[in-house]
Amino acid sequence: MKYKRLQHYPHVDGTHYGPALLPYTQAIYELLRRRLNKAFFQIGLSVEITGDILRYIAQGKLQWRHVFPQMSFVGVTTLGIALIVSTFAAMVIALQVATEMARQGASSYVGALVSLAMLRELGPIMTAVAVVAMAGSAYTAELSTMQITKQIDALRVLHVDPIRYLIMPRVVAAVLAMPLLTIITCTSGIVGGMAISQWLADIPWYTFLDSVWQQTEPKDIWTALFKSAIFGYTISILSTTIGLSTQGGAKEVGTATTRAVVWCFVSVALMDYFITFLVYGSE
Amino acid sequence: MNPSAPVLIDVSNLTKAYGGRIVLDDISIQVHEGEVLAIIGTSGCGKSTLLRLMCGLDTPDAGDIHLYDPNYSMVFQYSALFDSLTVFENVAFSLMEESDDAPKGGPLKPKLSDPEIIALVKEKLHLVGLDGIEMRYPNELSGGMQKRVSFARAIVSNPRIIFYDEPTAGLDPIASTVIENYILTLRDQLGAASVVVTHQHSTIHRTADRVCLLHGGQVRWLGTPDELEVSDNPYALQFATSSLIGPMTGDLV
Ligand SMILES: Nc1ncnc2c1ncn2[C@@H]1O[C@H](COP(=O)(O)OP(=O)(O)OP(=O)(O)O)[C@@H](O)[C@H]1O
Ligand SMILES: [Mg+2]
Repeated sequence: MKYKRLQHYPHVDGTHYGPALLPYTQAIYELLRRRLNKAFFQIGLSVEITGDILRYIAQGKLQWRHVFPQMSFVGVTTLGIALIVSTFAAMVIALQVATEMARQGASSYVGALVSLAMLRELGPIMTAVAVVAMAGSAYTAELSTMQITKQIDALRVLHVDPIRYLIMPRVVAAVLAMPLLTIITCTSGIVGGMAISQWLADIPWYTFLDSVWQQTEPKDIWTALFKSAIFGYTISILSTTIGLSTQGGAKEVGTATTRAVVWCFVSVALMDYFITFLVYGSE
Repeated sequence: MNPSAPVLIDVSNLTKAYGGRIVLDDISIQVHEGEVLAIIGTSGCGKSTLLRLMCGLDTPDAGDIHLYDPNYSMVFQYSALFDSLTVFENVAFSLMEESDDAPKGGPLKPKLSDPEIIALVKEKLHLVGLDGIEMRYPNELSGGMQKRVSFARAIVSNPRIIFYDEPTAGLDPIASTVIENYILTLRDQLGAASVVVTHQHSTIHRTADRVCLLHGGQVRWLGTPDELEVSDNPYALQFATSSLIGPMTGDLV
């Protein structure tokens, strides 16, 4: 009888190339090809690992005692930065438009403008930026260090799947924590915009809030929450799989972390476009 | 060793290459229940690679590996302790985490209560001569201490197949003897099948039932530790006498 052993995830291997005919074209072509290979490899791995995570959740193997510490890690490390960037972003919008709109007699629309900008775009995006910078990069650095110091191998020989033990709690935590963070940052942004409008354009806070209540629809809130959950998933799955598939030494930990940050930003931008297109594109 | 005992580790025609360079070339080894097989060979000859393949951390290019008991474990050459967990959590790891590759028909290990786990971890740490360090982190330990914690972590769940990658390298002679004795305890009490990679004379002679000499990706000599001392096989002779003259010199000088 043969027992199934924990699957070993392959790495992209170094490829050897023949003599170059057209040195520069060839070099650029090879670079692109390698980049694309790597991209497809990483995407494929992420999809595969997502499948494993869903399977473990369906089997009831999600352990909250591993999820909660990760949620508090994401929340605690990110909240400060997320609050600062998103509140200032909202205040900048108020700064740009409040005075002018008040002069045009449109004071009662400033609140709606700030609130919609926050919920539809800035809140989720600014929170995602903070989560990538604080939590995503930490995930990649941690997992890639565990990989090159053979701690991932040690997990496997102790019969524990690194996907269940390391990746699943981080992904679930990010998916749950990001919407909560977004609610907090949006609220804080709206309060910041309100303060700026009152201070610079003499728009009373009750007019501002009234405008927020009038124009904000439940759909905007649901979309903001959904978007943040998707961002949380994208950031955590990419940063953890990039970490897990790192090979080499200290230098590779550095490049993996950088790569994860870049990948996360690009994917968040793409996801943002698609979700916005799906939800608001037909209006 | 009892030759009629069932085979627990069965490696056949194993081949592994890294980037076109063949490290292991058509290796076949069997280890029986209640047997300790020592693997010796020059540095870089592929001993760690062989262990990694046997416990499924790497995939072979060709050949088959069968383990006939799901409860296997490994002691790594460089400890590989979880550095964000305490010594206690490291040793208790396989008792507290459920197993993901348990075969059908139940979990790999019995569910233990917390006091039982604490007692067991204390016992194993005491066994390797490390009392009262449960709450320390691996980076607060010396290399030899890490090695012993790693040993305790691997044996705490009483594995029936166990791979040791240089378990006594870098340890003082007393700690080495403790480890060697425990390798024999596991063999005698649980009928464990063990593979011990080692360079250490004492470990070979105290623990091994058979010795397998690896060189150039192939098994060059197989016999008991006593036969190793008197063999006229050129590889065994060179290893036993630490001579610079012999078939294994080319790689070293
Ligand atoms: N991931 C890898 N990529 C490329 N080559 C590797 C890799 N791992 C091992 N090797 C090569 O395989 C050979 C065997 O390595 P291995 O670690 O198995 O040696 P070893 O017998 O355990 O040596 P030592 O006694 O020094 O621990 C070495 O020549 C090494 O360079
Ligand atoms: Mg080795």
